[in-house]
Amino acid sequence: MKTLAIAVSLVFLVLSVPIFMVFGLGSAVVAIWDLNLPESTLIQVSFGSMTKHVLIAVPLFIFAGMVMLRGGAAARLVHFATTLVGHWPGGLGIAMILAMGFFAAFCGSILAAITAVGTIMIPQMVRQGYPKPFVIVLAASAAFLEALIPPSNAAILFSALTDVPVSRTFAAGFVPGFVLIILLGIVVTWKCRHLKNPVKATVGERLTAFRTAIPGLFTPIIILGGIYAGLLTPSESAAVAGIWAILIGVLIYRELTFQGILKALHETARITAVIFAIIAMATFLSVVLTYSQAPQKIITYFTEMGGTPLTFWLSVAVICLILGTFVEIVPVFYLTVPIFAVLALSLDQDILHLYVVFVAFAGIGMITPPVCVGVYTAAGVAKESPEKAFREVPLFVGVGIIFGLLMIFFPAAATWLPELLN
Amino acid sequence: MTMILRSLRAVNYILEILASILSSTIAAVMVLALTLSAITRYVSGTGYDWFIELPPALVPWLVFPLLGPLLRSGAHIQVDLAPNFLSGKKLLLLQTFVFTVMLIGAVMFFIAGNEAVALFRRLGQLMELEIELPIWWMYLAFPTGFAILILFSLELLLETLAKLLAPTPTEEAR
Repeated sequence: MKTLAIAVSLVFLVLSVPIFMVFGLGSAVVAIWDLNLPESTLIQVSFGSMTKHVLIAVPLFIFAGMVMLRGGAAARLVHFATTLVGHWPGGLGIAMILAMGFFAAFCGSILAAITAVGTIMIPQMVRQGYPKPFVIVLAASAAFLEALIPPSNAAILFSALTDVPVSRTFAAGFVPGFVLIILLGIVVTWKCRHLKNPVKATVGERLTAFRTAIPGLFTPIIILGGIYAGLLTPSESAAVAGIWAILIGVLIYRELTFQGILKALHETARITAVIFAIIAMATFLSVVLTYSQAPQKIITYFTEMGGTPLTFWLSVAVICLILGTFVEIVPVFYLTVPIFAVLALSLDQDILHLYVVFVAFAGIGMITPPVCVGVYTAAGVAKESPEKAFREVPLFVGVGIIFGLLMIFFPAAATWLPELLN
Repeated sequence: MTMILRSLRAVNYILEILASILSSTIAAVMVLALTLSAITRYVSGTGYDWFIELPPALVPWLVFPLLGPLLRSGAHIQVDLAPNFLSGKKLLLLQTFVFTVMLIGAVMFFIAGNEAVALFRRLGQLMELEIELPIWWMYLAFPTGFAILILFSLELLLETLAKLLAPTPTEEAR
């Protein structure tokens, strides 16, 4: 029965059945008919997972990002980043990376971040002579910083799955996020070194840009300061960030309307429903895995095969790279992390190290065809055919793999800051 | 079929508006409740359980009613591999298959959800909030959401079948 369910689920997956239904049907069939579990148990466990308090931060961060997008904060952040580094070789590209890293972190939606920052930066970069295909893949790659730089929704999902405090997972993403910014920055600088740069902004222009961006720049301070000072829970900090975003959009930038807030709420609800539908149904899968003792069997098999920490990390890398190519990161989380986490602990590996390595390799899928929503979205913003952008993909996949390998061989990148903050 | 499709469209149009209003309101309540939770705890030293515990309890009512509308707008996460290689009637056949699976799945989960709600209603469990609410109110979101998904899947399935069975331009010319 299990083999049949897995085979049918794979067929459904390839034939574009929504993933929440694939998870739900495949797992429910095995749970009810093979493991004789009552439906009420499945539904009870599913509700238990989706109503975890830590997960409430996800829609609230999405809301804060949506309000900042509509309230004018995103545009000012992009302008500030441009005045800061725009005149460097490849400066506009670096400005886009910085703005994307900053905005994507609490936007909650990588696609919304690409649209927000890309709409402003991509035309500007193309006018300056940056090759369109390169800009498109760069935007998609930079948006992937969302999964690392706190407050990141990927960190919240990982915490919900592994019961690691969110404050520790947030901290684990800091250093790797900066490493990725540096790597992408090096690529842009090298690739666009021959391009004419915009005129260097004067000190006055920079100060003005900084002054107007201050309210937006203050948002992460509220979020992370509140959490690490012990004043706010992650969910409360996300809610306060949302209210702060409304206040600056209405009172300071005066660009946020009541309609804008309603649209932000509507978008928040839709994105949340997409993510939480997968969480609800993927929990069926974790019930099946638990009752069938799959993780224990995999650990035994792995140990008998003489598995070492290195082979474990390389297996994580390959599996995440393959799955990430075809499936988005949220389903991959729920499909693999429960097993990876048990294996990592059995091999005495740090669970935060797993978070970073997992995200590094699964995130490469954002830019690899055929399922590369990041590239499709950025191509839409740039009004360019995605196929033309694909020729730039290998370069960024290479960067992603180098980044992932760095994370495998230097676990301190993930564990140093959480230990320090402890 | 046109008559059924027209009625389904009208019903689903209203359901989509209601689901959107409900989910947006819940999102707003979540933001306000947790902000108030932080403020009251900062001001009075103790928070109110309601502010902390209400948002998680509302999540199912935000998520499940939107399953149907999200299916129609193609917003659910899926592996978009096959549609890239198909066009015309083959693509319509694939969509027919997808919507049939969604319909069958929605019916299964609707039935399972109903049974679960009935069980929790009989057990009479209450939520651990300051004001006690029956726990089955939360679980009711599950069959409600899948009932809405049944209607939307059916509409999309019938729509695709209508396109599939419609004569092609060459057939019309003949």
